[in-house]
Amino acid sequence: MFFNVFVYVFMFTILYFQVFLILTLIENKGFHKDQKLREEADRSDPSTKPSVTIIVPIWNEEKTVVKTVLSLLDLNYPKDKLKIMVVDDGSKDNSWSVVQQFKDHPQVLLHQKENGGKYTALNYAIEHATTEYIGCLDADSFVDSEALNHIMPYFNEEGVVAVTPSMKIKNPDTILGMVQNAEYNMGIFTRKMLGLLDAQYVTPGPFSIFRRSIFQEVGLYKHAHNTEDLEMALRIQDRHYKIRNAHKAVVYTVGPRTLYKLYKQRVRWTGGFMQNALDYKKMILNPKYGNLGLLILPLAMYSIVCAMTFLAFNIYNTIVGITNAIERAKVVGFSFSTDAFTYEWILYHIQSSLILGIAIIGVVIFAIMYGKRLAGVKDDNTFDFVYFLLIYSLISPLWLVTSVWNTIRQRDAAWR
Amino acid sequence: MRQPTDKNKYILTFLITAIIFAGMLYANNLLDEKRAQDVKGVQDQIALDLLSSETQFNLLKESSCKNLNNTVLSQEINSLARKLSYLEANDSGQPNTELVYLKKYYSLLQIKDSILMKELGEKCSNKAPISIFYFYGNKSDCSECEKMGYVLTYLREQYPDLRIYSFDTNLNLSALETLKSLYGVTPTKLPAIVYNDETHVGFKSIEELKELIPALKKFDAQKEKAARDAAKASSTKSE
Repeated sequence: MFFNVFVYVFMFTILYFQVFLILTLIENKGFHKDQKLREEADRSDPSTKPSVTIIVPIWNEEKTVVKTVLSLLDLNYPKDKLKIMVVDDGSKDNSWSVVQQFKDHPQVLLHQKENGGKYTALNYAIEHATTEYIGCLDADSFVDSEALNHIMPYFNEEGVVAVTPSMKIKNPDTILGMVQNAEYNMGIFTRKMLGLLDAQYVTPGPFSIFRRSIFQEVGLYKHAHNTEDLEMALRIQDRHYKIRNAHKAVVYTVGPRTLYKLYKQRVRWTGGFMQNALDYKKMILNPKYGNLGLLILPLAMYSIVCAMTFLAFNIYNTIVGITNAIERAKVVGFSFSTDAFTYEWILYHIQSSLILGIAIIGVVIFAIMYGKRLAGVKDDNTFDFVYFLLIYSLISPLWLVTSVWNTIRQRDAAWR
Repeated sequence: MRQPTDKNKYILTFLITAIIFAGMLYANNLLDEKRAQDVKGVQDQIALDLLSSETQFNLLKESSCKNLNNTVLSQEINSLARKLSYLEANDSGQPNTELVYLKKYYSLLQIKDSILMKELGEKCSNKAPISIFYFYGNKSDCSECEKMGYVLTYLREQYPDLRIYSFDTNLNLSALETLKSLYGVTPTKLPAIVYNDETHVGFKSIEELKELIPALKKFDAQKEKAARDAAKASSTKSE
């Protein structure tokens, strides 16, 4: 009984969030046209384009860094307005010697420093950069050649200090890749809507562009529980500046290819989110922070708690199920019921939560499809959402549990 | 500078979500009703079968057993038991009057069916199926009933000719109370199995039940013989 009520409340909340995003979409249905006009105006006079530095922080990334830099050099942007600053954060592999091939390139600057973590590499570059705008591209990511042209016009709006791109998975050729592909496509939709709501809580490492002056105003990157890009977004939101999303600016990133690597990445993300959200807890349910404070942050925290409870119940049910199966096997041996998937069987086995789930599955598929359309690039993985729906809920508990546990432990340690 | 929150939008979202949710709950209720209707339909069929058998039996009382057609004996009782157990398994725990009603009706049908079978057995001994009564309670008053249920479900699948009448002792039904007192079943004596008017209390394994009900062994022997014959037939064919 209690569980049923809990499931209903949980499902209602998820549905509420998705309906809210879809209403935002309807409310802002002109945003496509809007952006086109802005881009046309921007394209008319290339000499007025602002100067941009893209930081490529590297740490043991000899395999991908050259491709990353080449994709940046391929950007359709005036050569004299675009600098690429490679910062080697004390790599132990051949990264440094590999990037020497760009030594004499007029657009590329090479820096080497002692290892101190990604955020120190970023700060190092920010301190050395001279351009009006500054961004970052992780060495496992590659940009579409039009990305910067899609991003820069957004800075024409007053108060905008950062613009995020649309992220896609590079070559999703495995099942895990497909799951992430769908997830990222959904992320494109969500991020765009959050951008329209002034409620983005992360400026992703791959190719978020900032007005350089913002770092003088709010300070440099912090360690921030290994999620400096999350903390920076929250800090900017704290000062009530605007973060926009350029949905057509596509960045490809190499997703973790093994479950373990994905797990490590997500533990970092989820844990980082919770820690930073707790650090900025004054925002939560605070109307001063608009939709971010009233809806997005509380909902994100709430969904983590819900997912955990859900997981606990699932584990409990599984244990009960297994115990019953063992009890049954003890008295009648291992025999399987001869039930077939007849109409009768389906009629009696569909549970209420499944029917309620249909609405949620519907909006999730919509978000994935719409995200795909928003980015406007080719994506042949039409059925990635199937993998997502089947697999994501099975694997996400893995990192949820660890991140919640880590957060509790670290918070606990910090208070003592 | 920050976009202000729009209270109306929050409310509108709530309304839309509530409407979708209500629609889903409505669909869910429809399904519940459909299930209940399905069970009720089966029960009506059984009631009709019973009445028909009874009538036929009365008509033929004076004549020979040969004329009594075996197919009129309702075979639906076992499938109904399965459907009811699905419903019980998916039951969320809240008091479900519909399910209680269905179970009461089912209990009555079982009692009627058993009486008819008994009469049939007395008149024409070879026509009546082997039948046992099974009395169970819920988890709190009968810890071994779940295990016993597994055994009986298994027997039902293995011996389609075995008729198992199962009764939830917590149903408040006067006919059932009478049946209970007839066989001396009380809440402390569960699970209880009645075979040949003898009551056996406590969990019984498959082997123990086979000892109690020798007819089951006969079924086994028949099955084995059939299997041997089939094997022989196929081997002679291949030669």
